[in-house]
Amino acid sequence: MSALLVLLVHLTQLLAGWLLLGALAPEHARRWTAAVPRALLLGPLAIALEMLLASALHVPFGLAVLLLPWWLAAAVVARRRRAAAAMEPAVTGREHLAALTLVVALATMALTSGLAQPLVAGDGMSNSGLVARVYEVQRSLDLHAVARLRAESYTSYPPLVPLNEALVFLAAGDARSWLVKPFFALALLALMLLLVEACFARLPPRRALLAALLLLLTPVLASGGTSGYLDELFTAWVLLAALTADELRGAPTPGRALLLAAAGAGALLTKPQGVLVGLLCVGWLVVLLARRRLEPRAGAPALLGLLAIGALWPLLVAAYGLSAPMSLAPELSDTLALVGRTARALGMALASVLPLDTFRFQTWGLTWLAGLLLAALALVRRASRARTSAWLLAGAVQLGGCAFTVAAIPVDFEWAFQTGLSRWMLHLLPWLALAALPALEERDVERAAP
Amino acid sequence: MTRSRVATACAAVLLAVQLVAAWPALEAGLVRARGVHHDLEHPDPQGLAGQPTFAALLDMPPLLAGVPDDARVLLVAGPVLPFAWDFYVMPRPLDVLVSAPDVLVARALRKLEVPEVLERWLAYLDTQGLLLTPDRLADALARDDVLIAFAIDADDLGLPPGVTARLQRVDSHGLATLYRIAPR
Repeated sequence: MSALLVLLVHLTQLLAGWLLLGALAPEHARRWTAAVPRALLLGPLAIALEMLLASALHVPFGLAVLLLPWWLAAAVVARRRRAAAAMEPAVTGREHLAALTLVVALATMALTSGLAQPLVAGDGMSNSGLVARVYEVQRSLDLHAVARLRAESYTSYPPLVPLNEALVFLAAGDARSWLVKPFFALALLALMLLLVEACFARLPPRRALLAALLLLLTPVLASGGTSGYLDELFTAWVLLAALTADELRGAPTPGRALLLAAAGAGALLTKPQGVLVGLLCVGWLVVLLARRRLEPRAGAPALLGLLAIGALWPLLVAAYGLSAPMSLAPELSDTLALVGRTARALGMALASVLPLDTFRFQTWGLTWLAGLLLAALALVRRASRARTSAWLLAGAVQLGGCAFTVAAIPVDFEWAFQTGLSRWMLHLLPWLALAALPALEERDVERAAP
Repeated sequence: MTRSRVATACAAVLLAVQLVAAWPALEAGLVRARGVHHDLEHPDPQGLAGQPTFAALLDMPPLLAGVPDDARVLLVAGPVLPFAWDFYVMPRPLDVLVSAPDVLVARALRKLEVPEVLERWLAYLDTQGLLLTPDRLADALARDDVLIAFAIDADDLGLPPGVTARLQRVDSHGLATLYRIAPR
């Protein structure tokens, strides 16, 4: 029974995401290969916002009260939308089918192996599961109770995953530690589908298949989704933000601007590092508005919405005195030492992704080496220089932020590099992929520079 | 044509090397998919058995099943890695005390690469009132209804004389033992 209820929760998340996607970017709702990954990401965001609203209105969390509105909304919308939007062919050829088959196989493995291994540690427990349990027990966003937790936990961690985990816990009951794992496998599925889409939307089929297989077989990705970390979900938000920013450049519509804001908000509310992704989204919207590529009436709601959601959680953190674990307390007094550590962190981060030893080879394979070489090639080509520069710049912003964060926590400096680096560098994979893909384009493909 | 063949061969080699790199991760995933060995006596392929985080998941819920939701719980943890204490005890009110014997701490500080982490952790426990001391134990025993000793023997709790008689052993499961605290 618990498993069925958890299935219902995930179906509702998918439905909520589909409804939101249909409202923002209906063109993506017509192909399942584009709709499913976006719905898998937007669904948890919609559910988290719904739970924040319910808490503000003092409506206790419950499965019926949180799930039913989405099914009612779907019943109203579905008939109208079915008439308006004819489905388009989703799978474009044998190569695309092969890549999607690998995605399904890897996601199935992540699902089954995740279900066999309960959530006991990692992000999913320390940073979100413990807080989610408070929300489940108190049936609200009870931040006073969170602040009173005895176990040292990351109470200021953004709330998207804790809220969604709380919903799963309400459905799963005593089996919560096992039945929460599909949430992470679904995030991995979203990320892999977006990677395949990024390749096949930009390259001829055979080259796209090569790029997609290289990315999907990145060892750290192939083994992901089972351990209960939030990095796959966060990386999927980064990729969705990047893809939407690219689409917005070509066709600046109000819906796409809002979808970009939603992607930025999703990243902001998933991990603390999401602040940089949110800032990149804000920056892109500002650039498009300043260049008059985006109408103020189209861009302003997205910009204001993203800023409002970005400010909401820090305000709540300050109001309730929530905090990070003491081991993450930053040491900012010695500026020179901080600069030195940041430079060292940058060097170690870049060295960690190259296949220089067995551990690094079995973490990244050839993905970063091939990606950096292809990105260099794309930089040489005039047709792709501007695009690749833009993606590399965005990646550099995120890498710089990551290195500074690691450097600011001196006690755990070595630990951070031994255990956290592969997961943090995963966040940069979307930027690397988008910077490298233009090198595989046909020579005669000319695209406008961003 | 030749150029195309060379490109195809390069792509095949690239993918083969990538598959070699990914194979251990894929194999580990397949092993996990076959299931976790819930056996705390023998190591399992996932490396979970014997870890306090995993033991807590297995041992705490069966013990707490018969404890009312409004009972105050005192959890005394032995010198093991911390786990999400509240996760398993909620919604019951919880007090936690962590044992850190001086001998073990001194040995750990000598062995650790970054001893500051342990020093800061112990300082944190002390400022939060979570470090096991006879006074804190006596205070907690006076206000709580049940005691869970996790990865620690009753003899190592440092119970004051006369208090031992108030503890009634109810059950034990793996690393955890449940005691009912009789009122004074």
